[in-house]
Amino acid sequence: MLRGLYTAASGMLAQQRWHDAITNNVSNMLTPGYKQDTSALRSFPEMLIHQMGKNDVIGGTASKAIGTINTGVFVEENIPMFTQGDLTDTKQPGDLALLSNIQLPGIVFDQSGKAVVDGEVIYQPQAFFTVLGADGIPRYTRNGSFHQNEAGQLLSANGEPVLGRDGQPLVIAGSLDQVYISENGTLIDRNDGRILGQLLISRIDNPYQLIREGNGNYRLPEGAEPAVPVADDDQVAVRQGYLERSNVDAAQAMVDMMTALRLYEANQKVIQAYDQSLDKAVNEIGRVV
Amino acid sequence: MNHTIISSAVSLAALQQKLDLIANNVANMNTVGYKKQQASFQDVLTITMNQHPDMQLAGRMTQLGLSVGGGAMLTGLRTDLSQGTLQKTDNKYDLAIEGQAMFEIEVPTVGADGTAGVQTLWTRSGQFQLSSIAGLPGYQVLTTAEGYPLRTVDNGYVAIPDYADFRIDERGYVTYTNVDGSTGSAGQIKLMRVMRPDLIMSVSDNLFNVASTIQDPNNVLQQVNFAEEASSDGIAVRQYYAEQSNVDLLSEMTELITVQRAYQMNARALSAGDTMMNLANQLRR
Repeated sequence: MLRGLYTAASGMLAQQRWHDAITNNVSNMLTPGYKQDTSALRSFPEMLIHQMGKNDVIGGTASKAIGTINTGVFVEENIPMFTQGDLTDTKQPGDLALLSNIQLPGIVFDQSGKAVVDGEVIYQPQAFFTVLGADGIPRYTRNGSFHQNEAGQLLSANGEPVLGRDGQPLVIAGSLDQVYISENGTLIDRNDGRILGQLLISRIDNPYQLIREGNGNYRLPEGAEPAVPVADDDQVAVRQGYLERSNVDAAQAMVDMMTALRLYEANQKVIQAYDQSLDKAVNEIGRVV
Repeated sequence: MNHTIISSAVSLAALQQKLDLIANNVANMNTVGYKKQQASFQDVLTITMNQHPDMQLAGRMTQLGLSVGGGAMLTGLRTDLSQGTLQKTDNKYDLAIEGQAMFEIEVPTVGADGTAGVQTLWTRSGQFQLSSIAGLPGYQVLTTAEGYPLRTVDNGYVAIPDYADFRIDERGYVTYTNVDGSTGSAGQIKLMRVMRPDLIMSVSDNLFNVASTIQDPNNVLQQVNFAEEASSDGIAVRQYYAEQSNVDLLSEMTELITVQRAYQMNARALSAGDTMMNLANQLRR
């Protein structure tokens, strides 16, 4: 069978998946705290091709290897990009934005948050707000749009309780506009200066191991190292009255969408060409006229 | 392609709702006591497609499984109770509130079985008038423009004798002066401090109510007791002032432009998905 037919089909499927990921980015251009997905495409494991009908060694069995070929391409993973989003001023006391720029001593990270030291890849740790999922497992989010329920418990935009430094949901008796939230997440009463609690800002050392759940939440896989609270000297700041905008680059997304569409079309043409070749093979070879 | 089309459609619906919200805010820009409504977006639950364990290849950064998003939805609809500008009028019936508090209003309702009853609602719109009500001859009662009476701290009405002039001080105490010069007190206007602004919803005619899921309205609104607290969190009533809406036209317009452009891009993604489906259909004529 013509091998390239399936290669082109896998190309079409890969471009479609890539287009889906870009569309999701574009849809979430206005979602606070959203981190855009980048698709990683990868060639299928390679096959070693041998030349048929020719032996190098007289009487032997080895045939000559020509080289390797890939039988297709697939979207391996959708990687979230944890670059910092811009801050937008909302003036709401319950809106919080996280500025996260955690540095490791002696290591300079590139723009995508990766550094290669002695052949080992190190990723930049990221800071997140911690909320309690319905199953009791903490979730991590950058969407700091918080509000209070009737009892004064601080809830995320999805209604999950926001955890404090002691691992318990934060409860504020008064109204949020009487609370000042400092840069390290400490809640201070505006009237008398009392400390009401502290937000749990979690630090995830390898943010790429996080599983994206949607609804703005990430969770750690089972068996992963638990997240630690952010240290005082980490460059992490909480800003009250601001929201972190999504980090989707609209222009890049538009260009990528066009690229994916045209590559899809190109693969379609390849399949049509194979179709014509097979048409000849089936209908014209050996025709007796 | 189908996934693209579905997720674009979901996001377009969310953007349309946001546009409706912005339009409502802009339409009410000049309404006295109007509080703007805000909402934000959230991304929809992600589907994780299973991947065969053989796909765990060297150099892979994330966990096994391909996560595909579903678009965005509108969430967190809330009323922004920030203070509007106070505009001085020459109208003694205009009252404006400073601080995060509301007037309490009594609204007549009809129960499910047809009996008449009253419902308590709250408002910031301090444009009142004097109306006569049944059962109080010789007095007129302070009501809203629709005729709903204002409540005092004793849960009664603010009754002013006919032809009397009245003054309302910053704590809501109403004093009136009759034609013959005698004075009297008509009580103190009830002010409710909003403890949970996220749980206040607006109903018609610039009136607010607590969300229906609330167990105890006292958790959401608490009566302001001027005698007890020294500072009262800066809450005061100002006569001869009208509170303008807190809609900032500049930020609404900016958000309108942003939403329109996002709508445009999502529509573009939708039509690209459609083109791809067309290409797949044309593979074999």
